[in-house]
Amino acid sequence: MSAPENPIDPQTIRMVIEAVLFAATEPVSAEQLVGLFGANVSEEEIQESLSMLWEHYEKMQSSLQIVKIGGGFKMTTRGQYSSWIEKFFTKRRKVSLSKASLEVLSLIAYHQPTTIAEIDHVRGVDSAGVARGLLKRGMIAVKGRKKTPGRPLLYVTTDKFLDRFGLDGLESLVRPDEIDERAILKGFPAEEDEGGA
Amino acid sequence: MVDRADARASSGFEVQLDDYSGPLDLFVYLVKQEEQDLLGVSVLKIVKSLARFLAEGAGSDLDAAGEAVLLSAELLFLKSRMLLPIPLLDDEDDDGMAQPAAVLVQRILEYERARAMAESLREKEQMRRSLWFSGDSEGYAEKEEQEIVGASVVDLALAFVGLLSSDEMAQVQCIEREKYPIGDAVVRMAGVLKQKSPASMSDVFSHAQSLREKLVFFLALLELVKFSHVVVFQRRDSFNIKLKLVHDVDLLRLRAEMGLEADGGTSPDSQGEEMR
Repeated sequence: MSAPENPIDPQTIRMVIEAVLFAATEPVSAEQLVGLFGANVSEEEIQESLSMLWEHYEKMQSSLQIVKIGGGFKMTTRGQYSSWIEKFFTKRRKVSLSKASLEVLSLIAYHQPTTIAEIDHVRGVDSAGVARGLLKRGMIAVKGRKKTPGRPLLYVTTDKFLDRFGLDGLESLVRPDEIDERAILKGFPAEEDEGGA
Repeated sequence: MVDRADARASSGFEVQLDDYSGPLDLFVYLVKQEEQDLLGVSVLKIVKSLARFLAEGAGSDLDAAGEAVLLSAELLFLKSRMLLPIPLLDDEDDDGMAQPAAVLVQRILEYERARAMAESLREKEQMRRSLWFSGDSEGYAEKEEQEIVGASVVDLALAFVGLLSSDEMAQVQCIEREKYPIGDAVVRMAGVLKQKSPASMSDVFSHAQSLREKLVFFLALLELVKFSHVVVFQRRDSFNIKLKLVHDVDLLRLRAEMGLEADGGTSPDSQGEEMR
């Protein structure tokens, strides 16, 4: 790799990144930061500055922190100060998503791209209305059509979904095979049971 | 789903459908609540309760009444599967014909997994909601939403007609087949909005030159709205309709979604969607 045209000292890099993370309303990716500095700063330097900045906020026990979320980095307050902030703004956050919405979202997240019919099959109930609401909120998006009769729409989750749930990526989700089947089936008859009504 | 506070096993079931999440949800709840096996759940109780629900005023709410009927039917179906005789099969034939109980348990297992995953999402959402950041717009979104109203397709069509000159209006009767792929227009319009969003509809449509191009642009706008890439709105005190990108659209990905080749050509599949 060629030498940078106008090298920038590491402290300035850290401070610029800190300023950008403070001002940004969306998660800032490492690629965006590389683009910001251009050829003057390498990706390794960005990564190093980010981890030093993260350490800095951890060590000084600030009420602020840097979190990896939605494929990027964000400067946020720490969870324990949430009630004070809500009190200051005198309004609570918007209501959380309904149980039905969370079920549909989790099914789309794990099986994407997937169709409404496939979600309906698992839930045993029509999910089209819930999916429409999630589309409006930008939590899911349409990504083409399935090549089956009727060409149903295929749905995927969006970056807004990751941001809403504080996820760095889909791999941060609990995987279906990690869920203990025995715990689920507690109280249900074993398969070999043949008892009458 | 059943409201836990209102579903009482001792004095019959009172089923509230406000947060109803499907018959499987109710079925699992009842099995666990009564600590019975699948066969022990009294469908009669549930059906009676739902019949009462219908009789006590739900009849005026077609959606709620419909869900109640669907719920009863699904529960009866679930239980009837359990009551079917178990076919006597050789081990070798087992693969092809699963036993009703096994099918139901498998279905419940799948649903319960989804429910557990949803619960884990709920926990993550709670944690995320306790984090605030600079410029967090959630507190202000409410005010903005009050000031704007969604534009309907009719509003859009009227605004579109308003954008056409009288000469162009006269041409409307003789539209001939011409190659203006809608997918191309979708990507172009998204590109325009990436430069400036929100933008007024007239500004965006100024990028289309001919009448045909404008018509394709209009269809492209409907596509972008349908796929939730764009929202259309206008302020209560203004006739000016604005278009806004919902999120940062990746144009390359959008091209692929529209079935367009990387070099700007059109795939055979999308030929049928050209403007004619």
